[in-house]
Amino acid sequence: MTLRYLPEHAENALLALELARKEVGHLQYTQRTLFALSIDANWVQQLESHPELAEKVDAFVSRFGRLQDQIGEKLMPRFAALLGESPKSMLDVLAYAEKMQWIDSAEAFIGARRLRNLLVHEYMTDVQLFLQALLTAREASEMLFSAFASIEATAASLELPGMSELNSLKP
Amino acid sequence: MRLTSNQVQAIRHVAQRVLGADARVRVFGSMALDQHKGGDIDLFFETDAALANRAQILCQLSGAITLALGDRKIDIILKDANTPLAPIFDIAKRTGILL
Repeated sequence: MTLRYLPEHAENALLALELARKEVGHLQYTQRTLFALSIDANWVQQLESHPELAEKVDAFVSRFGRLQDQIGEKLMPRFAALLGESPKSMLDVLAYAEKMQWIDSAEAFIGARRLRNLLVHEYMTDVQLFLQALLTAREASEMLFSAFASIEATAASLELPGMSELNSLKP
Repeated sequence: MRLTSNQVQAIRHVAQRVLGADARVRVFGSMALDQHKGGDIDLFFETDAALANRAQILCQLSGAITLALGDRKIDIILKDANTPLAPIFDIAKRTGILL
């Protein structure tokens, strides 16, 4: 049988997939518990006097940022390499990801980086902007989950060995 | 001002596509100064309209400008009809160059 991927890149790609899977789980948990709350402008105004809620927002932002970096900087480039492509820059990686339909829009993926900054700095000065950023980040999380699911489907279609199988093949 | 005419065209195009024909965009900070070298690209987008979701528009502008100018340090601020006053907007307006 002919392999449809470069086996020398399989381990790195699978490691990135496993880490991304864990980070998806962490972000899904925080997204679920955070947005189970009734979040509106009043809620945002109370953040300063409710450190436990502010901490939850921080966890969400941090997990969102980690998953986005893991997908954009590790998972997509390593799967591109696995498939014989070697995009040089972040923008090349995103163009390839768009072509592979791992993401709908490179513009939306890269634009979502701006949310992290908005969610760290704005709640003291501009309540509405912070609220909008939080709700936009909720949607952007779904974009990340969908990118992960698409790459996971690519992995399945390539019939990659599992990590345990890969380890057992090592001398 | 140290943006090339191609960069200016690309920025104007993004402003019009995302915010409409009456949007204004200024470059400010070090990129507005001829004698400086390197540095971030600071852009101030302004519209008289009231946007439903400024955060989402900021992301869209940021993504579109990054795709147009390359993945370098780009800082974007946005003011619509509902944006609270802040010193940064006055500075950007006073020192910036309209593109």
